[in-house]
Amino acid sequence: MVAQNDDNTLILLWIKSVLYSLVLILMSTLIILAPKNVFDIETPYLLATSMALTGDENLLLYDYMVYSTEERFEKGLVDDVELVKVDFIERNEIFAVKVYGENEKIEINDDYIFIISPNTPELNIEYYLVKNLEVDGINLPCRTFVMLFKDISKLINNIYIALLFVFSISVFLPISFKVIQSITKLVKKQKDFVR
Amino acid sequence: MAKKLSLFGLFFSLFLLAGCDFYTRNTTVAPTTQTTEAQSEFEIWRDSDDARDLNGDRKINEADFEIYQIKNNYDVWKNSVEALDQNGDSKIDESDFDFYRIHNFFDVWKTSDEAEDLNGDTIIDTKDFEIYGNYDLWKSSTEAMDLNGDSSINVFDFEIYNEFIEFVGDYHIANYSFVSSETYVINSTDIKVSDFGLYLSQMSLSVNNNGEVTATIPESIRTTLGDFYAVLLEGANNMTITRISPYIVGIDTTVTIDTVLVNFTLYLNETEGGYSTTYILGDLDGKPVISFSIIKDE
Repeated sequence: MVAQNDDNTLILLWIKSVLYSLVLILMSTLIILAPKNVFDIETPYLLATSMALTGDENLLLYDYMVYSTEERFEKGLVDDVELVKVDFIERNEIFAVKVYGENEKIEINDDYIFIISPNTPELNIEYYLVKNLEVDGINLPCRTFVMLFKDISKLINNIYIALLFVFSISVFLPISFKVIQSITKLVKKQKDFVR
Repeated sequence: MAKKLSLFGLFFSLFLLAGCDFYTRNTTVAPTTQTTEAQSEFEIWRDSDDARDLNGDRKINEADFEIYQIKNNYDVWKNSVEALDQNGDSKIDESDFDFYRIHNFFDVWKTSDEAEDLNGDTIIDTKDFEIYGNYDLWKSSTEAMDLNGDSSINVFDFEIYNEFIEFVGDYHIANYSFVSSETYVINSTDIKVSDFGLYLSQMSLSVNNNGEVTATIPESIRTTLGDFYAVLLEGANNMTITRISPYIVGIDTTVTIDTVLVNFTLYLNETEGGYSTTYILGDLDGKPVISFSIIKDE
């Protein structure tokens, strides 16, 4: 009867150890995989671009580039736009790219606005600084919005990381303690059982 | 078996030789050669990386090619107005052409032996070209001064000078206008926003060699503005003026609003006597627009 009881306790300890270890592994994986930021670096630009006002009075000519052939123009749309983007990001500004086309069209890309306009000379890429955006009927300068959003993002990201850290500690410590306790008991029982 | 193999080898070698010959002949008389011959010098240039809008007419055409040739072809240069005795040896020859090219074109200078990292930022760029061309002249002029406070006058001061010299001076504000269908009053004062120009016109601004702006606000205004004076002063004294691009100048500033530090930029249009700007008060009904000029004092 005593032997059967010991048997049961041993099995129970094994189950406990395995379960706690599994929970520990699962929690560790979840914490490792959890995003480390609520907002990433691109978020303010994506938001600002999606809310930007695109009327002519809101666009300031920043610079332009002229290309000799259609092929070079197409290449410029890929390579040169990326280069100019760096300057805008450095200043926390958003921008619009204007190219020639018979029919006016505005596309909101991820981090810039693409405008087709009959007023832009052919084989030219015009870059415009976008001054304002609109949030809930309020006009705000894009740069003010981006910089404010960056400050708020930093604050939220720091709070999130702190909470994640506190949560990790509060989960890891008791579970680790339980795992160690179960394994110690298991080892001890195992020794007693062998004896 | 060996005979068969050697025969196959011989046949294969002949086939390869014939193939090579056929291929060679095909490429030498190929239509591409004819195309190249048919292409004019202009077309070759137009299709190359060198093609640029050199006269700023938003097109790349023969006119740009002529400018390009003056830069790159000695004979064309010699017959142009650009041909001058640059080295003072009383004749115009190829050494003057080299001098002209190296001193006027960054791309030529960059690939020459003269190119070096003159400001120690580990890259050779247009800043170094500017130093190469104008630093000595600046250093021997009365404009040269220690702008970064390191007790010596060097290339770093020259770079600061170049960046801000166009803005240095005293300014006053004029032509204030406030377009709105409603009457707004500045918080904690009785001053109507539409009358604020009267106060702004009494302020003066001064831009130093580092692009920093200092505002002078008369005592009489300080008392009238009350709490708003501190906001105005903070905004005015945190201003820095920057050239954002060849076409945009901006004044960046920060103001504390309800304990939050907010960044603002005034984008300036260049006018004959200074700058003009407009700003939308986007949180007010009807989005009123403030505009004014910043006039440079002679």
